[in-house]
Amino acid sequence: MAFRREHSKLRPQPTRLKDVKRRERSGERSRNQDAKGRFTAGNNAPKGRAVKRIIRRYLGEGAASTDQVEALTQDTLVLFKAFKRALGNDAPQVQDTVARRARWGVLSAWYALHAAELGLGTEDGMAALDMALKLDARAERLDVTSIDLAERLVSKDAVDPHAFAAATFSRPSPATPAPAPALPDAPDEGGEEPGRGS
Amino acid sequence: MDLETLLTSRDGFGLESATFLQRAICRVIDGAPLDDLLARSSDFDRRCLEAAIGCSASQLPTGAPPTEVVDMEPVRCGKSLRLAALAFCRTQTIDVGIVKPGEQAPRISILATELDQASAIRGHLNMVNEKPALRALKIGEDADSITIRHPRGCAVELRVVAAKRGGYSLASRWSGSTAFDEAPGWYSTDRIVSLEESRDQALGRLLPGAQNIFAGSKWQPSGFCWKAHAEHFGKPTRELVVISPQEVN
Repeated sequence: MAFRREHSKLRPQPTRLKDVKRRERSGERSRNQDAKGRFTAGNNAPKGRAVKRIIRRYLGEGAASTDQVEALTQDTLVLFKAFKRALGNDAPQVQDTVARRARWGVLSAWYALHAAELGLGTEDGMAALDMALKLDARAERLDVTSIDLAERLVSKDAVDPHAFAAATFSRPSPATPAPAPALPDAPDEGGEEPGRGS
Repeated sequence: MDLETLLTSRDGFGLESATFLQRAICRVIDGAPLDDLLARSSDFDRRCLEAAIGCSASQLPTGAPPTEVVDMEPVRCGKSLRLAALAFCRTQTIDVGIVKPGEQAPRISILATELDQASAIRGHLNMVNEKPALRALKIGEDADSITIRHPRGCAVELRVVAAKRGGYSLASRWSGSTAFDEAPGWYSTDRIVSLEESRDQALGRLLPGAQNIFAGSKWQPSGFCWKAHAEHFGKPTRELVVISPQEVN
């Protein structure tokens, strides 16, 4: 959590949307899959499968009664996966919030299109548009909430920053000497000052 | 975390072109052994180091950072950048076990003869925002400070502060280290704001593993830095080490 200073005291400062840092990606497709997309040995893809199963069921997977529901469910699942990937956090609370955000987002779009079909000036059309706006507002709020949750909750794949910093900025132990970095040549007397300015 | 790696790492403060002497000074400040560095150095390098510390490298205290270091290097050789890296390093290495829950967070104070000069180190600390490994430890910042999370979870503040009468800007809280930039240029005890009084205030508040660092180029034949050089150069102890590379002829 970030802090702000107010009257010389630290106060909690929830992350503002504009301050959310860009997610850093490894550039690899997935650490669970090889270049051809096949699962590799020791992958952790099945982790959290109970949560995934519940969320998919709540999103309507396998329960579609009509083609229209099937299409909406598919769109919702695609959006859910995309949102989750963009957030880079698979904590259960984040998944649940993102699932609801995807569901209301898709339904909002459907109601907006339906309002246009009914006629925007008609009573039914205006009622559909009203519903679309309500769902849109709900989806927008959930969007902010999911980012907030993703910032606050530690993903199970998260790296401890202190352990990472300690490993990155510590000299290798003498027992396992690393290849010594080449030191620049000693400057001649009267030569230029090495290094950076003070 | 050690100062040399933090300063010279591309993922850290990025001084990849650091010379032997710059690396050796980092280890002297850290109280780290120099064996492997000396093993891959030239005769010239070793002579430079001995001239800078006034004695053989084997006489340097190792095992823990010396309580005070007077670092009187020439101009434009990376003192302020090293002070910024050192301040960040100490946010991770000091022992905060003595700080009670609810107590004011320890502070690493950066002072200079004027606030404007101390702000140069605050500028170098912006590197924290550039490097992901460092940024992950940051929990807040403002124009004069950056707050970093200690491995035990508490916040440690790095703050540029103005020197005050009697050194009272360093009072009232634990000190995670104190960096006196341009220390040889500070006024001495005959003035209202003096290095000696600020040093006295800082010494009693240092946490285990914390240090007072006096950095700057030689200037006047009086004051704490001049006395420290006259009395302790070439006689390093766990309490005080004086580094003065300008002794190279």
